[in-house]
Amino acid sequence: MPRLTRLFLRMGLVYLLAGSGLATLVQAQPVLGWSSSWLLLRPTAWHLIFIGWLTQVIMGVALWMFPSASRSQPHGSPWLGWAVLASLNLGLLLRLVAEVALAFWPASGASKLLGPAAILLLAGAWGFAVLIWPRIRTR
Amino acid sequence: MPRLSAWLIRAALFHLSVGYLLGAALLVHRRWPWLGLPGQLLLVHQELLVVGWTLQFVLAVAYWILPRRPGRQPRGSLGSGWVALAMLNGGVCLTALAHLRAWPIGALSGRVSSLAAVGLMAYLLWPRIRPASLPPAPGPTP
Repeated sequence: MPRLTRLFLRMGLVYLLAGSGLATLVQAQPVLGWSSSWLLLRPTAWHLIFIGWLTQVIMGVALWMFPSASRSQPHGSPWLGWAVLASLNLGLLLRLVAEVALAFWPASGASKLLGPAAILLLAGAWGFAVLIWPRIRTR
Repeated sequence: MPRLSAWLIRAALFHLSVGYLLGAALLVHRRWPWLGLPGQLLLVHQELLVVGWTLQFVLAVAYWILPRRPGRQPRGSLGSGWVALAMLNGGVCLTALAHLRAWPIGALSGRVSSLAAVGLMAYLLWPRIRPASLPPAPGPTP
């Protein structure tokens, strides 16, 4: 298994734990009488699970098991692979920080991070499509 | 990789690209709401990424890697597979357009089409869920 795939899978597990933990905290809000601001974090929890875990696991396994791109670079451009990993994870992290700040400290100005987060997540998804496209080959 | 899987994966990557574009626009719209995006885009974003990307990609890889059956059609009826591809992508596009137009019957028709596609893929994949090779029959020990 290539190193990049191992990192995708490990980051996926980290986000699965983080997303499940955040979803549990959101669910605990009405039971424990916490601030209703917690409810604003429900979409963020789903994104941590859906992008952070599910999408990263799909991407990591695809980069590992799809037909080789070439003999010299069987998994495609290593540079682009690492850029996809970095973009997705940094984008998710920025989004998490921005959403938490928006929920609990709306005047903090952290909402400005949503723009860079959106660009990074989009770059990660498009980068993966570019990276894997030449490896979709029939026999 | 069989040709059907290749086309399912290409279609899934198309939905991934468009779905993330909409997601990025929606995220930016929260900070700068003067973009004036319609609220229904959220439903389109969800449809493209849940059904068009994730579900379709997983089905494509399953069709590729599950153990093949002996005989002339090792992956089952090819025609059913192509019908499933058309119905799944047609269903996703119809549902997405119907969300934009606030057209409930269109959204339901799209969802029924996607459901039929999933049913066809389940019909194709079900008999292939088995051990990759049968274990050798136990013989007399020397």
